[in-house]
Amino acid sequence: MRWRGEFTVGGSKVWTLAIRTLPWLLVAPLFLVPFGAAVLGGPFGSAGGSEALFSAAALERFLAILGSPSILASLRFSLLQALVSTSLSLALGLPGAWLLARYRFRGRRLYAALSGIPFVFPPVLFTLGFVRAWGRNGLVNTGLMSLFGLAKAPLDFAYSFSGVVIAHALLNFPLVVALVGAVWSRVPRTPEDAARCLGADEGRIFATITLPSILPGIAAAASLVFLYCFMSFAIPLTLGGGPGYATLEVSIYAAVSGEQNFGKAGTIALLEGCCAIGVLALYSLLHARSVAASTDAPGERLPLSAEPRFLRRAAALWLVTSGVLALSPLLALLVSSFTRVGRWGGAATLSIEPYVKTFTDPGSLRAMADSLMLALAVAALGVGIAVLLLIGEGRTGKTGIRGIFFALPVALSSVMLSLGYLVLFPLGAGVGALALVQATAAYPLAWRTLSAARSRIPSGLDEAAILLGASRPRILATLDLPLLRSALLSSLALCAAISLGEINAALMLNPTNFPLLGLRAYRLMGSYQYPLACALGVIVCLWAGLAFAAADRLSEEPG
Amino acid sequence: MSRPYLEIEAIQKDYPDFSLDMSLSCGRGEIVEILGPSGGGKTTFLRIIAGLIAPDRGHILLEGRDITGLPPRQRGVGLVFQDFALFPHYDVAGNVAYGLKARHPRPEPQEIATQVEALLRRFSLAGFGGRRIEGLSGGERQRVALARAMAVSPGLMLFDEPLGSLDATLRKELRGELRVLQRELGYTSLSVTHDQEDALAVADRVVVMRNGRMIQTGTPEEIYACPKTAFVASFFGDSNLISAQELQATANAEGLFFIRAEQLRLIDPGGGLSHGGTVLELVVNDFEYRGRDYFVKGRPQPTGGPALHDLAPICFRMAQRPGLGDVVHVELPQAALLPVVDDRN
Repeated sequence: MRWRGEFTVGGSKVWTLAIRTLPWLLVAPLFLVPFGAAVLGGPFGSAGGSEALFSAAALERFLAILGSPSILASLRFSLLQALVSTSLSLALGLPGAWLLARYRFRGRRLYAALSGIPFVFPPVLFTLGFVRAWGRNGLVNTGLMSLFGLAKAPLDFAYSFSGVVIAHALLNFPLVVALVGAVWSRVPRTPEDAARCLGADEGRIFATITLPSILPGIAAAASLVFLYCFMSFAIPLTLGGGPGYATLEVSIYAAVSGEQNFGKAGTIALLEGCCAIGVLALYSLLHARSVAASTDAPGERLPLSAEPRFLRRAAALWLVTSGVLALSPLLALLVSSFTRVGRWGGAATLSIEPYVKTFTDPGSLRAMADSLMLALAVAALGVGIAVLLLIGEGRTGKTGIRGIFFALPVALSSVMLSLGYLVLFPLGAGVGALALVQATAAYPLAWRTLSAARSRIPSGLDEAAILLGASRPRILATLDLPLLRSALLSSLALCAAISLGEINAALMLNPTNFPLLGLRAYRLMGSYQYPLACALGVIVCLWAGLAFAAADRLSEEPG
Repeated sequence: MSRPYLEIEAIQKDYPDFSLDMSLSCGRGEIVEILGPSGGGKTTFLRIIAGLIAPDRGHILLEGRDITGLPPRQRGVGLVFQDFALFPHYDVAGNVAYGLKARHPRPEPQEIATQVEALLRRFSLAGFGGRRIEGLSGGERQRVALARAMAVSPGLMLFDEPLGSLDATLRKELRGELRVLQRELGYTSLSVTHDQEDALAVADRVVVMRNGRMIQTGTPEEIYACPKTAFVASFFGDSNLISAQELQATANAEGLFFIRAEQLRLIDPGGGLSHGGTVLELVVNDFEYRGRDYFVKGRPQPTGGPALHDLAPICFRMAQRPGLGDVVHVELPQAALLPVVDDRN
């Protein structure tokens, strides 16, 4: 699994070159074919088969679609909501990032772990939880109404522009905390002390020394959050609810499912893909700058308990409030799954009825079985791709190609790729395409996990094994695989978790006769059967959690 | 004599696994080197003087003014960091001007520019104002760091391992440069270092520090010639520590004695004893060529009595290349044997 370009022991240069390039060539078509099909099959596709691919008529048609008011409105909404969502995420995330970088306190690791929520809590379930927490009939409103004896729900923002941006902010601010916190803790400290000795006060030190060094890191985190919000699907689909509040991603789905207009969908995909690549390029530029300015090891963290009382109080209040906000959808999902809605609009009561119904309903059971099967296939596929790329990456892992293959699944979303498969297979793309799309979206996380684990293996080990006479297959079997065992298992769990709650590709491809948990929860939510939807959501989260726990256990057993 | 320039009175700082307790005073223009092993609290002590760490007890007086409670920016104490801590996003002039711009009230831009220009010239950095920090050599960085600190606090300069991260050639060069600058500008310099050679080379006075306490202070010559404890003795140069029992011949039956390798004399057993010291019969165990002569380690012959069995090797110097296993006789001159406090552990 590890090959170095310099190795000439026991292998020709041609062989080494093939090993290093083949993986990239094998993985690239996963994007290029469907995305190409989505774009070429749409606006640039020949209408009657006689027209040339890039004719003037095709270009004109493309520009006409691009200039249509509905697409421009969707582009405007995508950009505007992403801008507001990002600002809100920064406002919610930066204080936590500072506390995390500079202080030790109880619950610090727990607070940092909140950034894992978006990776294991699928957006559709997050949306469901968000509605259950903050919606008109949600827990917060119900609580406020009974507490103050109100007749009307005081909070009514969930299904609106505000709802979309607040949901985005709650989902993404922990990411800001983690990313900016990491940058902030690695900023060299001595320049701040130097400025202190030169007579600068704390405000001046922050403005002239600290801020310039963390700014690239903040900008990098902001651009990433902006991209996630710009390309968001489940949240605006559910909370936006109409053509006025549709992101480009939602518009692709609407063009396909509503109008059957593949030309329009392909045009939007091209527009969105180009924007995404632009933002990603900006992100990698900023990220590289912030890495260049940081030290290798995080600086010393002071105990928060040693600070003045007002700071301690304010910090505790902030951490608890923002932590509860981040967890509110997850908590609401859990609570709602244990309620029974009273008949004729009566008060909801605690009950295990949703679970009883779920486990006695053949449709739900079928969805569980099928989702589990798909998740296993996606896990195998995703980790397979990641291992392939790991071979191509070599040991240095510092190629430009690497960045592109990390970026592609983000820039070319599952909705876009699904569109491509629909164009390629007009009679129905099926479960195979769905598994491929989900694995394509999931592999970067598996790759990152494996790559990080491999970089922790001392670099001399493979050389030592070669000098001791081991062949390459033997090195792979006796060194790399045992040492990467735990990373492989957690990658499998990660990919399976991503597949379990995914609805973007599932909605687009909508495989017949293959019910899925995420879709079922989404449709139950659409018909206001919240407790049932939440029960399914809790089951999905539980399975994802179990997968991680199992991976953890298995990797601890002596191999 | 007037009051010392800097007085540090019983500064104490407690940590869970470490405590600091230091008193020290420096005259104006003096170069004091605080020397000790890593982790001995040297940097903490310096940071307390600069105001970056608050002491638990004690007082710091600068020109008679108590600055213990003042924040760093009001102290007028310059600190040069180990890696110089230059601001990478400012150019050389921007670094030097930083402290001037932070002053209240802020001086006129014209005035700042003039002062910066003068400082750059004084530190042989004329024309460097627009340079980026990245492109500077180690010596240039050191001068920028000094000019930057000197701009706001020309009187007292603290150096935290100023030569710590440099290679041997460069540190000798920068050591010389620092000495010349100090002579020209006359600031009071308080440095910490773990390098004995650096300390002896530049200091007017050396302070040996260990585990947060001062062990001995004096001129470099005093410290080298008359260490008070076994720790100080073994910290400088090649020394032998010998107990009274091992010496047998001495009057006191207990205590620890110290003698430098170069003070042992090689004697011809046939000739008469000229200094009346103890003579040891040693078997050459190991030796290194040191250029001027050979640095030799020898084990005492087991004939001398049971006490000598586990005696540490004795080191001495020889002009000619010895052979391994050679038996030599060395004399420990009585006058060169100094009693020291045994603080080994």
